[in-house]
Amino acid sequence: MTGFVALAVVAGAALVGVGLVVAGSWLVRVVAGTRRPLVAAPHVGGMPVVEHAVSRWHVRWPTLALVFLAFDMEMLFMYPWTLVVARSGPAAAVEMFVFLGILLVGVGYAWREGAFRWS
Amino acid sequence: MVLRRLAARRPHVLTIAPAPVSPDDLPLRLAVEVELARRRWPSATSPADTDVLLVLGTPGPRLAQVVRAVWATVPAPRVAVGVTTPGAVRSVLDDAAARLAGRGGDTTSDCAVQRQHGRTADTGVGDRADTGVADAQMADLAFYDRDGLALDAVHVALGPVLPHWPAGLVVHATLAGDLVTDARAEVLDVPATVGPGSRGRSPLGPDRTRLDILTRVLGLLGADHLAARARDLRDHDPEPGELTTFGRRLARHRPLRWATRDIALVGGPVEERTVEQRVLALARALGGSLAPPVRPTPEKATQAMIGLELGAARLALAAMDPDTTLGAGPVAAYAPPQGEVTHHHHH
Amino acid sequence: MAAGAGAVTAGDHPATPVVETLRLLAKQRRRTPADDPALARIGLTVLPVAAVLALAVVPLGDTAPVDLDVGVVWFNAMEVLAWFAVWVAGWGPNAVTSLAGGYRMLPLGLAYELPHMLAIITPAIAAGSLAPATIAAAQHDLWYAVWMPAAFVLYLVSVAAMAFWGPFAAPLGRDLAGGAVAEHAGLGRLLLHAGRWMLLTAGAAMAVPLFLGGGAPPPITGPDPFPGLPALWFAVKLVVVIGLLLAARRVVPMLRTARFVTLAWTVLIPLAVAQALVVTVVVLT
Repeated sequence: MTGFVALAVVAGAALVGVGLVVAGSWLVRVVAGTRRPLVAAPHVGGMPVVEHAVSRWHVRWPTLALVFLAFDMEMLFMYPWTLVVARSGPAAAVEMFVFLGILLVGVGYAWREGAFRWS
Repeated sequence: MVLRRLAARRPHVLTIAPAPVSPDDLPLRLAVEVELARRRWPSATSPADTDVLLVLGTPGPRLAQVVRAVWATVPAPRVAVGVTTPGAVRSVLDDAAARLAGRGGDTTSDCAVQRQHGRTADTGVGDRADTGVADAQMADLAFYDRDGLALDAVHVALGPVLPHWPAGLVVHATLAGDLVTDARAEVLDVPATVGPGSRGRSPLGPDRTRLDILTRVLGLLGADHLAARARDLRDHDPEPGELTTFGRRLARHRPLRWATRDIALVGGPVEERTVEQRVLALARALGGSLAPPVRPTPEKATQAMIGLELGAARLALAAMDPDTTLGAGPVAAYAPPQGEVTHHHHH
Repeated sequence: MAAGAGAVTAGDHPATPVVETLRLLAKQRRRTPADDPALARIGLTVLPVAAVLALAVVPLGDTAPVDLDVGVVWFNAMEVLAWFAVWVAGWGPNAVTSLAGGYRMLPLGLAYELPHMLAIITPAIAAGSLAPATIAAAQHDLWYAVWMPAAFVLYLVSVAAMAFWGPFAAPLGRDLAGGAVAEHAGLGRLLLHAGRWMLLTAGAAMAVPLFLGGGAPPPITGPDPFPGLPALWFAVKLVVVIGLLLAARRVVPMLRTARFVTLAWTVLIPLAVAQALVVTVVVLT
């Protein structure tokens, strides 16, 4: 568990590092007299913006995300599996790659259905 | 201040150029590009990335509005300068760098653009500029995907100040996510003309026109070394052998072909049917003393963007390189419906 | 920094990153109306912090700053935070270009992540360990880059993709006027570009223990000419990996995300599974 405590310390140090950059920039901008941010229209080429951009986004890859999720769950099992496969012998390897093979067949089906092409 | 002088050694430059209707416009743009490349000053991708706003030639009233709007969104320290003749480019850029480094005047309020075109909104540092989007509306539901779900449509006017974008062109687009579902062309200050216009008669000549188009396509793809090579060949009288060598190199470049594949040019704006074929044709014709490449009207080129993903649409537009001197529009800007927002329902 | 800054300037001055950093430090910040500054700030902060946390478990020589027995898994978890960081950094400003750029990060991640996971698991199978230092030590006879070349190449591709860099720079694409970073000036832009370079460096650094024998000299040199200097060997190998990535950037232009997704799922993932299978069979026999 000490490893994760050390990582928490590293995270704190990294945050302090970001804070130092922020403080440095702040100091420079105070000296230059540009401390406050400029509030400006979003840029799409210089013409006036009439609508908010943050609205429902037409995500055209939901099938891809689902296929990914199935595969990603499997990868979670693969991490502990790497530690025991050499000891457990061929049976563990066969099980894992049959599982991967089934997933790849699923990927092939999704590909044929056009899940990976959307534009 | 030392810091400011150091930072001013490599200013990012945002250039705004009118559609090249005047015979002086094209040589000016080329002279500016040559000089920026010589100084290794990068071109800014957006106003947020800008140190120097450089206005080429004399913008008409519509483009002047754009110049003012863009200037209001550039964060300090910043400098705006204008240049009207190729001979003045060097001194104008020297002047811009000096002012950015904090020598010779206030960089945030006293600028050539303001003197030239006048100012309406107060763009004082830290002040809220007149942005117009504060009372903007949420996008209305207007599209249905194949599952019958209503999807939001965003109306945007793309251009004219975008990287590797045809000068003066505005595309009034409707976006469903990153898909262009509708697009209409307008060339600022150049209304549509009747007739074939200057089709194929670019003052640059066939090969330099091809290299000009390729520079922009390669730049958009982030292929900076190839783009710089194309620009060098365009700007420094190359030997015919060099041109054919470069053309062959591009045509054989598999990653480049792969990156431009699968973008159809619908509606026949140019002879080629896809962006890949268009880029290949431009590359293969280099140094071959062939007729100049066809450059479509802005309307036709913009029509071909419909149905494409935004990135693909940008590539298609750069590859077609519409001739903005032919003019297009004007198009009435999209006005969001006032008051009650109506929701369409799918049955 | 120069690569992300855009512009057709090939061959930059060595001092360019310093000049660019100072320029961004001194630049005024910028906001857009009706934006979500907190969201953008979270994203901009998470990116460099995640890169540091990923680098913390990489053995910079013999030992890592934090020796974790599941270092490979931790590295994987930190690198995935970049998806979130870029997405919300692009979402924050309420602008079409930055929103589109932020959203490009997600399908990019869905494409590179599985080849990446399989590529880092394959050395772990061979070494029977998830600790980077143990994996590095297991290569004293033969580098994994040599006997599992497909995993090594896939790993390098995924490093470029996780840092949304070079051929995978679509989330910050020039076609979107800078994409996720289009509306960020000064400090925000600096954090995003710096975080991206740190992530690329962390990814390149992890290639050394996973595929290039860590801090040990190449197996063919015989006795170590610089005994007791694993950090030196690590640094030399890191420079070589970064050089490979920079060379690849020169050759391959930016790919549209949709094209890379197709490539990843139809070619890279089956290839990665095949490589893992070969390695498993060799380990078992």
